Amino acid sequence: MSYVSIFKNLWKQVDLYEQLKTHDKMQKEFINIASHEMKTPTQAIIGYADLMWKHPEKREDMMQAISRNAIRLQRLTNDILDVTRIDSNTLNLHKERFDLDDLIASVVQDYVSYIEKENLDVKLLYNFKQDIKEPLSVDADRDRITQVISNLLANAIKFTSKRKDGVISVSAERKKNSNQEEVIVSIKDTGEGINPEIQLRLFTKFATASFSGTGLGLYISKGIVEAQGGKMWAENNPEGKGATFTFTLPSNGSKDNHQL
Amino acid sequence: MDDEPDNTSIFSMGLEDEGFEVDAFTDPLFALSNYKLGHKKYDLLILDIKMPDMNGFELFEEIRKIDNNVKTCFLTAFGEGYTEEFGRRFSSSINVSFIRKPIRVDDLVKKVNEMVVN
Repeated sequence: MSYVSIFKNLWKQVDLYEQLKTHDKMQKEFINIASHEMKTPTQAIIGYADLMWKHPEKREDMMQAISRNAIRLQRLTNDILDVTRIDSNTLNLHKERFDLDDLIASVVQDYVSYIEKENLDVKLLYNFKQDIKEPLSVDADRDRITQVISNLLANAIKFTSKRKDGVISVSAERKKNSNQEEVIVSIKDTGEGINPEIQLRLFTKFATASFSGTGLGLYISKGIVEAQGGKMWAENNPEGKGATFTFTLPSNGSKDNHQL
Repeated sequence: MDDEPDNTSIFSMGLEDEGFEVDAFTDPLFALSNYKLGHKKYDLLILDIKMPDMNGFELFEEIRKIDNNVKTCFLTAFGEGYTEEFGRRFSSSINVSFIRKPIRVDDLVKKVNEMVVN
């Protein structure tokens, strides 16, 4: 073995060691932030539980606050577990063949009901074009894809409902690129748009934490899509109003081509 | 001063039950402008550290420009490693202490009594 190849091997090992150190540091940072985030609803639960005895007249409000924070803690716990599964490549996917058009329509309907119930100034539109000859058939984990679409719609509603006459348009179509067929789903809103300061780290952990969200939704959604061979990205709309979130999934083509 | 409304509500109520007069803020910039107006003198400031727009340390530095001796208790949900670092940063100051969240209301009252009385 020559000196050059020994040097190259050593350099590879040093590089690998540095990568592992960086990864370890990022994991510790994530644990610190995650535990900090979990302590917030925990403080509320402990605090209101302590005060309820002295303030029976406020018991109902305090019970609601405890309940609200318990749900927040539950969501955060679930998201943190999902993040660790994605990071360790142990996300358990139950793949099945289904029509993505159907699934999107169903989730959109749920959110249309939510918008009506909350009386939000947002219109949610989906061009549902079920085509029996050319369905948007995918092989994917139905529950996880529902989670992704729900997350993207919830975000779109959150950032669009702050403006008047908000519109969220959902579209889905099949596209053929050089390698394979894929389904592309886009959620376009007329909301606040993506803050340029966070755009580069939009899909990272805790990029945008808020009371209503855990700050992990986009990271998890991207992780779910990529684990199933797809891609996800986001950009501000060229006309300067709002943003579009897009993800792809490999497609199976029409029903005629497959044994079901 | 805590950007979480539940926390300001809980801590205010707990301290008022023990006879303290409390002004609670969820916006650090508003808290600072209120302090600058100078209508009140506070025996103790209780500041959350992690807040948007201005963190607890930055707020503390700004208030210290107005009142160099004000007693301050920082609230933090960060772990031991961070609180040790915070302690080193303020090791020479006897008017600064830390409380780690989550904290029971009784423990908060006890800590506030210690700071205010001493």
